[in-house]
Amino acid sequence: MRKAFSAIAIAAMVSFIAAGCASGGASSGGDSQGKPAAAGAAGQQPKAETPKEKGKFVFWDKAEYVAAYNDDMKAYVEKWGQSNNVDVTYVIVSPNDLKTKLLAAIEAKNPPDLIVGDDFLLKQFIAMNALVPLDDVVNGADLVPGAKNYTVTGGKYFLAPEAFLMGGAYLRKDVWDKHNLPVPKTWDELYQQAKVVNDPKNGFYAVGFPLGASGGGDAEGMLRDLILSFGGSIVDKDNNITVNSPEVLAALKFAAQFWQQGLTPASSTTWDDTGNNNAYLAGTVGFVLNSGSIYSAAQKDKPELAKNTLLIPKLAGPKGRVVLGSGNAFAVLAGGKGTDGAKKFVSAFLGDKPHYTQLVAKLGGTWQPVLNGAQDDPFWKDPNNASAGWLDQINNVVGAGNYPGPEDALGAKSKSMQLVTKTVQRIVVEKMDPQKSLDQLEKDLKQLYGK
Amino acid sequence: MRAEALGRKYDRALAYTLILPVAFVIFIVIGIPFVQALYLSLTNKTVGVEPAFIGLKNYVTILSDPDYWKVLRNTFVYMIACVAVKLVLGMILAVVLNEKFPLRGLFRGIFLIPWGLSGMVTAMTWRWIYDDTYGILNSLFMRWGLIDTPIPWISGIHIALVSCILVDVWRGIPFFMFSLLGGLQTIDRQMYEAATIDGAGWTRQFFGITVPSVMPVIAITALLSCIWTFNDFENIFLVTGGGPVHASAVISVYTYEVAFLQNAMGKSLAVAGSVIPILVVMIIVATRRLNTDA
Repeated sequence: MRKAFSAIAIAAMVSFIAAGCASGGASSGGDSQGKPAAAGAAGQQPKAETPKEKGKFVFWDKAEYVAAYNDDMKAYVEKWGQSNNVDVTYVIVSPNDLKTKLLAAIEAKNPPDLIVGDDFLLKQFIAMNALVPLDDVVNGADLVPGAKNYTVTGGKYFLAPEAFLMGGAYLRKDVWDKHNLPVPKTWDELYQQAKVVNDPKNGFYAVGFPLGASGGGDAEGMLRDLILSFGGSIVDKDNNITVNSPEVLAALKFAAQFWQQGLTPASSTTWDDTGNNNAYLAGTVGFVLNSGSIYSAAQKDKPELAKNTLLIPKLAGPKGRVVLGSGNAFAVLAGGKGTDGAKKFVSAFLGDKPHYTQLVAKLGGTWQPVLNGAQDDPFWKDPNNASAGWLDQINNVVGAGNYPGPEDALGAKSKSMQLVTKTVQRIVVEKMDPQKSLDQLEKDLKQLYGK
Repeated sequence: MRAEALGRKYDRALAYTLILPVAFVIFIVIGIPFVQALYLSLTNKTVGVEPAFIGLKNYVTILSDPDYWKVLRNTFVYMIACVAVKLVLGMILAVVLNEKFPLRGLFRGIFLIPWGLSGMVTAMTWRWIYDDTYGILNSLFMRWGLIDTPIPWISGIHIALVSCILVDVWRGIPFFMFSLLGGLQTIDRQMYEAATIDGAGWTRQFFGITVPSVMPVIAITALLSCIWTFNDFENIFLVTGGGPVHASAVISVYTYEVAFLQNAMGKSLAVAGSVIPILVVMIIVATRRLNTDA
């Protein structure tokens, strides 16, 4: 009995394995859905009989803080796909996950064809030879000059601009008025006023500055702006490390005061890019630096807060104010199957000015337009549009995150690694001596830049 | 005699035949990636670029990195604290729930809820509870006059890891409680009655009868929990992100950071690979324990 059972079991097992192998062999010419492989299909069916091969591309789009954007883009790209005989797969990816997912997809040799993300994030993929040049797309579009300044890398275009995310400062006018304080124009004015309005015992902090190092861009962007406004810089125009200077040290010490004196919530040392948005919308902070996303969210969900909010330009430091550009950009991935379709779509998107203009307006001030003429839309002329005051900045963009150094992959990586944020974190959280922390930053930068 | 030997031979053949497909699948989905990961830890692998062999350079780099040692220390603190607290509280609750009282079944059900919740939901909820601007914990403490200013639960350098430990404990207690409850239910009541007649008090009975009787359950539950907690990622990543300044980062979170924020895949695999010996020891002990109990 036992012998018979063993024999049956062994036979069944061998059959199972054999069946598995057979099925693998049978399906090896097709994909997981059982469709025939392209080569096989092409071999069996003459090309002439195929009416026209349907193209396809996969589009990973950044999840915008204003959901109306993703709804609009999905409908737009699908409609474009139908008109151009292209199957489009539209996927919304959280900006905090975008880099991780893209790295994994590239390593698995299965990247999307088209992607929208923050310029500093996408620039890191240029050094990996992961992006297709888009010079023809960019040069064929009617762009404002500043848009080219934030997407150019080493004189070439691997990114095509989608929209500026310039932003500025949000101020709780009602709180400032209560203390009879003027609107701050400089960092120092803000610091002095912050000490007056700060009221943590009642759950209200003067400012909401992010200092988390989880991969976002808000904290690093703010600190780099501050350093430039103090007359310092991370690198010079030839990418020599110039960070260890009295100006940068002064800027770091100045920034650290906001945490050391409890003028910003302590938890902001772990905030990601949504932290300051949430805190401002919750009414727990009086001043933040951000793109227009807070304004559009407040208008929709917190009209009273929107009414009490003043949108002002970024603050000046002892050496004035430098306007750096940043924004969303398109990138087409090399090695994808739908590269041509993706490029055609980007050209079509940037060529459709009426749609673009209404899309920018739909975002309620979160974006500033990259296309010439879009800023003439009534949306930007509306006296009730508080975000219109930020529009001028797009005409003064001198560069992006690595300014005054060249916009290259190293600069983008240095920004993405949040090395300046970590420097201030060490001063604030570990109570490290500022000069020692700056020395560490210089060491990290030299290692990264190979100096 | 001969028939018996023949039977054993067939048993063995059957056993190997049944194990073979599983072993094959494990080799494909775990064995090959594991060996490949070990190899890549000896290379300068970054995404999109072919790796070049650099020997033990990654291991030397991480061993001289103060952040690595900080993170390794955090990992042990996190593992030991989580398992110890869960064990003690789980035992107390198991003993209480082993007694007969009204609505015992309802309480058993309620205590199981944290274990049944998704880790992501738990972590995000606790992050909200801990928030120092709109979190409920600080709000309650301030309303009750216990504190003047909010406690930086997730941003304080000395408290961030403790906050993560509390979340893991909250979520993990039911596993200990129900494992130990199962063990307690197998203890013969007569042993307690005999001990009572002999004059043994509650404490004596607990340490003389209860603990030795459930010791095999304690050992295996604690060991399994050690392995899970040592590898925990989502709890810490979602509550504090490992910050501030790695104050609450553990090996898994640090591995992720090196891999994806620094795009240093080879180095990140060296970080992960460096703790394999520790995990292997734990797994061997757990497996031996399981075999002994079986």
